[in-house]
Amino acid sequence: MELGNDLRYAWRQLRRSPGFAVTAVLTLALGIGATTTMFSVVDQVLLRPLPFDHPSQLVAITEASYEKDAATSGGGISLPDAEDWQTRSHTLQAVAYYTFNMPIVGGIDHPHSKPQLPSSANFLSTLGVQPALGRGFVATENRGAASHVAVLGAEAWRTLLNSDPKVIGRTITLNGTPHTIIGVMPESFRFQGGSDFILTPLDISQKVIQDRSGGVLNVIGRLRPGSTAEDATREMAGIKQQNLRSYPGKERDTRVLVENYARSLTRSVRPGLLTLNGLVLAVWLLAAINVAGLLLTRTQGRRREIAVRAALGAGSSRLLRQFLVESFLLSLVGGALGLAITSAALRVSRTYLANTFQNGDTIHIDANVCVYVLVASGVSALLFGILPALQAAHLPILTGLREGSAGAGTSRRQSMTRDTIVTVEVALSLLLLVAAGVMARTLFEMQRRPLGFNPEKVVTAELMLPQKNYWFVSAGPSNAKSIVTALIEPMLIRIRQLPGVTAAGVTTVRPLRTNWTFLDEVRFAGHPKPDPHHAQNTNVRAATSDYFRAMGVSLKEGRLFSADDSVGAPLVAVVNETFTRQIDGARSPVGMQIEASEAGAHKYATIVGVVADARQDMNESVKPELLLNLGQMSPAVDDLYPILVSFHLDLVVRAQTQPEALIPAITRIVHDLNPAVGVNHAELMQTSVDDTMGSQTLAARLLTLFAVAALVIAAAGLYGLLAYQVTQQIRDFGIRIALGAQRNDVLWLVLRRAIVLISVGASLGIAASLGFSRIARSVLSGVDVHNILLVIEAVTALLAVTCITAGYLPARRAAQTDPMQALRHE
Amino acid sequence: MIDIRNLERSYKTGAGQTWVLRRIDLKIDRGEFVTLMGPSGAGKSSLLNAIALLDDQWLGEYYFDGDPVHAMGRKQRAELAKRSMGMVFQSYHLLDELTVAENIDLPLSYKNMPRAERQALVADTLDRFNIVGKKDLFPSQLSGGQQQLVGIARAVIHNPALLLADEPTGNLHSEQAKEIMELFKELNRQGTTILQVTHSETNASYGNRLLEVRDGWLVNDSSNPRLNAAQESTTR
Repeated sequence: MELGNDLRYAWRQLRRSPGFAVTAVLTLALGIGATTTMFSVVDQVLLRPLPFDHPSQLVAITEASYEKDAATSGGGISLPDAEDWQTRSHTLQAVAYYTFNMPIVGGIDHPHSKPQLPSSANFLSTLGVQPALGRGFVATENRGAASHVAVLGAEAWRTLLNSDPKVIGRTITLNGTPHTIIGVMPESFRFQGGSDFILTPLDISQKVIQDRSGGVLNVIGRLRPGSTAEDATREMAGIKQQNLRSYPGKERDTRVLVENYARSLTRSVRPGLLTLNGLVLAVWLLAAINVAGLLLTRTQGRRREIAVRAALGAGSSRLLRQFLVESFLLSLVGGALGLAITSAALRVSRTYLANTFQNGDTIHIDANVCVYVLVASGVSALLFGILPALQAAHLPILTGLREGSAGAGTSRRQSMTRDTIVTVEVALSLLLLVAAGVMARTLFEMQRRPLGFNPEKVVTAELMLPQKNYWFVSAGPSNAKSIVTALIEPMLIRIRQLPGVTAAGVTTVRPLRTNWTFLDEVRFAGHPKPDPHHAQNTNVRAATSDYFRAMGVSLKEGRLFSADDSVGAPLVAVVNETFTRQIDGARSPVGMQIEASEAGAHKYATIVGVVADARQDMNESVKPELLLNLGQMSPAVDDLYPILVSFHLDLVVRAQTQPEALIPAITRIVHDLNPAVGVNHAELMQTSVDDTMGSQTLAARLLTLFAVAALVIAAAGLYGLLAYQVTQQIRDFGIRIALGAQRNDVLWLVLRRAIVLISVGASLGIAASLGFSRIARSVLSGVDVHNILLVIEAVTALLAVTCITAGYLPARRAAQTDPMQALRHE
Repeated sequence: MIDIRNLERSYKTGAGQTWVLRRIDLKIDRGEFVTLMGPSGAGKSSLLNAIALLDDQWLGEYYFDGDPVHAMGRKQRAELAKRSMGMVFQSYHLLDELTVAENIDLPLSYKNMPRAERQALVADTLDRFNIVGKKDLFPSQLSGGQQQLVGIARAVIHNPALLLADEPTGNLHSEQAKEIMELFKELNRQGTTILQVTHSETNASYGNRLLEVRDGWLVNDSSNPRLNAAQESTTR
């Protein structure tokens, strides 16, 4: 009942002071909304358990060279290694593996490519999931024709077969090979961020998979109860050592890393996410501190009311409760508005989240988030409400009852409390501004670096090539049909004849296609084989001669591919500028020979030119790149042919006007030559550039928004404090002016106080910013000292100007005091 | 009812002390209507505040109905004040955000009284003071006299044994002041002990005992000729 009275009274108080109420609610909404938005992301990405049985037991197993950090450079595993771990491990109760393919799916209305996960028969049982319809794989289905079965992900079932309830037993073709559908996964099962995939057993009878020195598989293990990832790491290392002795020259000498599977999925995003989370919490804290300052001022103005209540019998606990109820009401309203802000923020950044995080498209407001808002509101209320409530509860009665006591002075302790609040606000604001400024500047610098190519009037398309088996399986040199002669050359000839086309080329991976990459070790002819611990890698791609002109990549040194570089001629290649800077001994690489195959006519490729760095990823610096002449490659001669050429290609066409109008004609040309080729993501290259930059720009803009909000909050806090203090000291100013003080003397008196507070706050903020910068340099790429110091200088100046302006307004009011009015006020 | 012995109150001012009450000895019986008078700064309000237990920094002995207030802790004193005293202020001190009925109910809300009982008491009080029609109005909608009336209603709703009033008519014109003083007289007639501080001789005439305070000393007591005689002999 009394709580009801307190709530009713609190509501009336807020309605009587709409300015204060709106300011406090908006401030809280911003703080709570920001932190709730962050929680939504962190909860889905980092905290929510994976939808598997006992997910904490699942581990990812990778291998890497000893030199490099295994956590960031882990590579694939060979099948023999995976089978050894399965049979010989005591720490793992199950070892499963999978790889990735992109076949053309036939037997449906509109054949197109779809992700395929060839996997071990125990893949689903290791994850601890079962199909919702039908069954999973059995052990005998991993060889030959028995492996021609498939389990569909829920989204694949929907898109391929319209969720046909009679799907079990239906047949689809994968690259022309019929597969019988035996199961459909439940809606809740998502793997690698989605459910739009086809699971099939991996046919382990293929000889190439048995190669111990090859590493094409992704491996997941399930720990035995009581075992840890560290135990498994030690055990795998022991098995590796035994295999090195048993299979010399075949077993790869690499480090094995066993890591919690959920952690492995979020490794790359965790540092940035946690840094952002810290900044958002700072915004929340700032909002709470600001509202605390507002409430403290308000409590002073309510001293008469508090004294009357105490005189009428209200004990200190009763007063404490009343003021905390007011705080909770403010906080709940702020929290509700904050939830609306969260909803809007998640909606606006949906694309960015989907592109940045696995399962990012599923981030939404759910029960967890609502509970978080309630908790955040409650904690906020305590944070900002407890100090004013305690002050109210212990206000001396007589002081409050004295005539005109609504403005009857401020104790030194109260004054110091408010000064501290403003100082902390200024410090936090500066920290937030610096953090946002550094991250935004780093992002923008990354994006403003030259693209290295000219996306204007260029259209690209992804070509998914049909295969008999898997991408890593060679068709055999004697009977393999060369895609170059069968598809690429005739396709380009016809495309070049289309109206308006000025250049057309093909590459295996175009710029900004971040989900495809192939790294190979750099070995120069005439140089000793590098120590595995000091091996250097480069991105390896292949391209036709006209690709560079089509994509607008400029030549820097030497020459590009020419008509003289025919099939029978020595294999040639070009490298990018980063290759010359980062690869030891390649400062002027034209003329150098680099290993491209184990043996044969194309054992080495001769580097004939250096091209400009074309950005591979907008958020990372350019990596070394070697481009082989695609026109010279064939399955009979080139070891890299199956990996580079037989799976995925990017077509690039430059036209004089409206290149997007050429897309239907291009698609027709491709399908005329081979109807089984999938043509995906045909679009303007500029669109691709804009989409990539758009996502990252959104992140930087959000950060900047937080920081600007922090600046506004700090300035408002400083203004409020000084304005209140000027009101308290009107009588003093009147006396000073009556005794001969000039207006400027009074102005300076008030402004000096503001400058002192700003200086102290800024000093604390700079110290905190320098601490932040150390963290930022270790977790974010591209952050340098010069950037940080520049931002600190700029932000300090901005903050000083803003806060001094905020302080100037009440100072001017003080200077305009009419002494007669002020003394009558007494 | 009230027995005060050697009551003193001082404030620290710089390096020294300023005495606002000096060796006050005072007895007030149940049912008396006592007026405190004296020049500004004499200590009248200080004495009133000490008796009302709004101020607890005094020294000396203070017995209320035989209970030693000077030996009580803060909570006990607060309970005593809540139970047995009501305060009327010169500035009314009504809460602007509460209606007339809610203002009157306020002291009851701090007593852990069942809601129904409180509502009944408020209704009775509104009726008693003839302000039923104004129960949903806010203080800003009332005249000064009406506000003071509400202040008095609030002070007596819990039937305190002692009503203290600090310049209750200081902000009212004479007609309103007369109404208020008539009300005090009626309350006193009904058994409430009243102690008022006033500058007005007219208001003082409503009481049946007059105390004069000067420079912190109790110098005159109309019911204690010996005190008056002691003062006269001192001044002679």
